[in-house]
Amino acid sequence: MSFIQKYRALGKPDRRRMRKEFFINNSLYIFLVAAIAAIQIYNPHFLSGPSLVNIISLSAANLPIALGIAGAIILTGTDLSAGRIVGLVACVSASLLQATGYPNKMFPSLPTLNLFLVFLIAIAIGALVGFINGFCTSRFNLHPFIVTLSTQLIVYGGLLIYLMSGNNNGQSISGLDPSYTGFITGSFISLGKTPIPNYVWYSLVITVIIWFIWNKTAFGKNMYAVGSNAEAANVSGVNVKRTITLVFVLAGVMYGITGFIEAARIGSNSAATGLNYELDAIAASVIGGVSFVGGIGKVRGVILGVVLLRLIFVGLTFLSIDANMQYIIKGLIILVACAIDMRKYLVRK
Amino acid sequence: MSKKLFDGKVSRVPLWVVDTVIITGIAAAAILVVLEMI
Repeated sequence: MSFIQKYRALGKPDRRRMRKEFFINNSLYIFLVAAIAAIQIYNPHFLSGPSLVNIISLSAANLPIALGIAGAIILTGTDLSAGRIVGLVACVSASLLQATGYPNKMFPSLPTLNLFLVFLIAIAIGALVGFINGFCTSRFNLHPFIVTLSTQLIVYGGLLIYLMSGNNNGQSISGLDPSYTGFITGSFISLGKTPIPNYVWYSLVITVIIWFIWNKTAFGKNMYAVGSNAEAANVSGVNVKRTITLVFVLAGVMYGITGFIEAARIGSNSAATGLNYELDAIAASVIGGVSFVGGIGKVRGVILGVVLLRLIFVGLTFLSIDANMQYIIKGLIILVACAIDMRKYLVRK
Repeated sequence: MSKKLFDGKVSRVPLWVVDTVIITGIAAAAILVVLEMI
């Protein structure tokens, strides 16, 4: 029976309750759509071609990290180390792919490495930190919040030490090789006159792969099972410890990919690269319906959350809203998304 | 109503409290956006 058929079959008091449930459960989406419409009326350039390409590009850059963190949230955990892993990988990738002959090259005697080799290094770094997160969470029964908070600090310390090495002395790493920047930010398709960067397509491919892993593999089904009820999953024969470890490794791989893309996208990488990226990713995941109580979340929800959040942030910039006020509005959106998630759980129970 | 959340911790949050948080949060965000637009 569809939603409308169910609604028509009810009496007046039940219809009133159903309308209330619908509006409260979807209140955040209603607010975001209304805000976007209001911003478009206030400033008609908001949804113009160049602006849309900008929004799509920013969303595509944040999508892999959001998909990684969503996996951790589905396991009733979180991952606070995501942003710092992105920063570390971005700086390492940038340092290994600086242009030959660049005056402030970090390792002057090192030639510009092969792009694919550096991509593998980026993924390996992300996977290693992810493995540490997953291993400590699953083997020592520590809450992911504490484990990832610790690895966040360790990774940040490692990044600061790395930036002091070679010729760098703590400076930003820039002067990237044109083959690297062209591979990431170059374009072969445009929307009107605005070129769509290549990393949008890479993000799409990664999203399809993650969708396949989550929905069509035993590992994906085990992830949802462990997130819903780890004890029941264990009794059913699922290796809970291995599943948790692999989810965090997969998340680490996604952060590595994000870092590799981000290094070329922003061009100049420092210790501040990746700062607070995990907060936006967690917010996008929760807005997209990934539940903190575990076992619930879809790839299309994460995509929706990332795009909606990016639309709002770009919209707030279009309104010339004070950057400090944007933090407050962002925090309120996250709070409401978490409250709606909690409400759905309470009503279900 | 009591629910098991996060390693056995029990939460007894009435629905009206959660609804209040949702409505207050949305209202606050909307008011802030409108004030900045004016």
